[in-house]
Amino acid sequence: MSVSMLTAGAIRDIVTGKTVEQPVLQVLGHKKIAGSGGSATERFRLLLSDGVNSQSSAMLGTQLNYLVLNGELEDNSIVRLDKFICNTIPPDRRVMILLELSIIKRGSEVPGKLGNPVPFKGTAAAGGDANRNPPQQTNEHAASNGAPAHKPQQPQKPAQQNPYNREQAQQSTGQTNSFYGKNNVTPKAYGNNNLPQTPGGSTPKVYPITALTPYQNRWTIRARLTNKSNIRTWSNSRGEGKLFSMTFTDESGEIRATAFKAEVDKFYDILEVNKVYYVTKATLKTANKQYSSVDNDYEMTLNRDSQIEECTEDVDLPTVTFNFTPINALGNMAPNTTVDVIGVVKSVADVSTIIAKATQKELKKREVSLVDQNQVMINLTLWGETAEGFDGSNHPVLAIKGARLSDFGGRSLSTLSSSQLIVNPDIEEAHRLKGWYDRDGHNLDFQQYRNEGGQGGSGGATNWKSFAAVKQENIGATEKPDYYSAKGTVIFMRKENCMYQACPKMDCNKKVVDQSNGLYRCEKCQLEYPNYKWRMILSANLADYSDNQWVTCFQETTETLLGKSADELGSLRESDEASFDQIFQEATFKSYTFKLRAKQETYNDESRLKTIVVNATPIDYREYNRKLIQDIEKMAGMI
Amino acid sequence: MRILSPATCEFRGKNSHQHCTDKMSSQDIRHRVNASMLHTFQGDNVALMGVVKEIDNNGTSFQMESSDGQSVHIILNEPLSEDLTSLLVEVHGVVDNRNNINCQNYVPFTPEVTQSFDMETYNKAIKLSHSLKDHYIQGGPLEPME
Repeated sequence: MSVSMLTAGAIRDIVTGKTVEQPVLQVLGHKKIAGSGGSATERFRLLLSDGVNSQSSAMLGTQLNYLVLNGELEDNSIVRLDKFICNTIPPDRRVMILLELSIIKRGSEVPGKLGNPVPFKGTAAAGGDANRNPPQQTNEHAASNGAPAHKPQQPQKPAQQNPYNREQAQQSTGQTNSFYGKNNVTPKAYGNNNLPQTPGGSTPKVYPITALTPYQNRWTIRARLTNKSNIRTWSNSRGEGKLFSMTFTDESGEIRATAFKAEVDKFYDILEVNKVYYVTKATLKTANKQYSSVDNDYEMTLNRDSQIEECTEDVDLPTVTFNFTPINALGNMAPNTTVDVIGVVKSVADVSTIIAKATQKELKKREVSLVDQNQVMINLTLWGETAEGFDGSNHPVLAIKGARLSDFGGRSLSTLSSSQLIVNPDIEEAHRLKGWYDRDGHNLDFQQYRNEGGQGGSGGATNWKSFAAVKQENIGATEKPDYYSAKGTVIFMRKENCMYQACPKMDCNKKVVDQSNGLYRCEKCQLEYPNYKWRMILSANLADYSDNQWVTCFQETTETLLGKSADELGSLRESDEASFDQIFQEATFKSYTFKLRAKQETYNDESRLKTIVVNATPIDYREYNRKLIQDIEKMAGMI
Repeated sequence: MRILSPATCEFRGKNSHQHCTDKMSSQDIRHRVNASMLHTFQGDNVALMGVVKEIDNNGTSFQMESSDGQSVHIILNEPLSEDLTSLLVEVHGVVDNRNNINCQNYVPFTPEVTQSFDMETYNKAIKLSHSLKDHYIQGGPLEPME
């Protein structure tokens, strides 16, 4: 057991504001502190050492109290801090709050104090005295939980003192471009955070948002409301109700909160975006990432006991923080992710109304095209009220937080209900963009995202393969089917069994059984019909310069290749076989651009490649030439 | 590229004893060129595609804008019997020492085709076929060269 087990210098680094990852420290002692506000929750204060220095202001998060209570965390234990934060109490005190830790060595197995640690003198503002006395009580809050309404005792905190280092919060979000916070780089000290030991007082403690967990129920946060959605109503088999959701942001991070039914009435009207509120008593649970792109593992639901009070003090909390991706980089990102984007509005379309296929509801939308200095343009779709109210005249700068990136049209953006749009935000990036656009941008031509391969609607880069390459590269061998495009010529088509009698019901294509009494039975619909419809299922062999490939074509693609509808073919087959054959003759040796889906399938121990024609389109020679020239030049460069 | 004119590269194998030179200067080969290349094919058969600009008064010659945007003078054996102005035309003939073409044969294309023809890509194809000569072999003897 040696002092080298400990992360020497960690204490000094933490206290001076540096980020320290998972330091290993020794617990030299602990002290129980009675809980505040008349509650039973006790707190434990720990004396930590890294072998070189000791630090006495470390509080164990209440969720870890059990470790002391059941004897696991004894004095002399060696622990690794997996998650902790370090708060600053003015003028220069540093307090650590331990949220997660691992016990590396139990105290009973450690001979004693490792090394010869001395209390660390000196803090972020050099020269402070790391005293062991309980810090002075900074009394900001009124007696009731989370309901302060008067000015703090302390004077305005100057920015130079103890910059609250965001990195101390180990899981802080990568925040860039925080705006509307007056001091971007040196925010004020998080001064109103009372230390959790305030004997006798019932002053609530303000926690950083990142410290919220479902396991700790006594907390108050002070945060800015950075997002508030509209009220939405729902009606399903279990009943109906209404809800709205919001996002709270403080220096440490952000969290999503939702209010349902009664709470909607209670809070919707009093909450205003961009105002700062004290929030306490809400239910914390694991975040449902499906509905929210907010960066937090947890989210809140306001309940009957929840209290929200406006904070009238002058605090500098960051508002919306962006993490912009340049428009030209969006092509490399996977679709269906959320991104933050900023750009100049180059053009705005009119509001149009479409019917949503899924809900049959009418939706209003408006398309906006955005550009930035990398000379690439992307389309952004606005919906509903945002679309109607949007004024894109005079080429404003538009910043979007939480837009969804789609591969429609190559790449495009869409706003979600949780997205936030700011027109002409007062941030440096926006000013830079406006300056560039006024100077040069308005004259430039921009590259647009578009579907490659020239086929409309398919989106994403086309994956051209020769048939030989398909076999060589084992396309389709993985669990998911592979899609590829190929220019191929129809070499042969199987006339026999190219069609079957199918259920005449719309959308049901199940093969029907001929009952021989003039009726046809569909097992799926459990009905008998006096008629049927012909459905095509054609086996064809396609070839290119390198190899050939057997494929299956269904209704639409077969009709394309043969140039006749299924019904026409069906009746011809019976009435005029010569013409039927002729159709197949003429269809042979025609070339198309095929979009194919290949998958290895196993039938009784035998694995075979099944290829289906998704699409067969006449060759767009212009497009195809371009591709050939590209390929030639690429290859010629290598020779 | 779908070659619009019927003048494809014909494979002639009869003169097997002929030496294979780079330019195949015999009557076997018709080189598809643009204006910039004419000087290297003086005395040879070429196929030149372009848009007819101006026909002279006698109808015995005309100016054509080739795929690389240059003007070429085409001389005919007999006067034109149709107005080819602004139509896409492919001229077959021999290049003289002034880089004009003595036309033996021409193929006119309809206005519809003229409209949709991608001249830029065509020019690109010509340039590639010349710079990558080995991959676009035209005609030649059946036996391998020694």
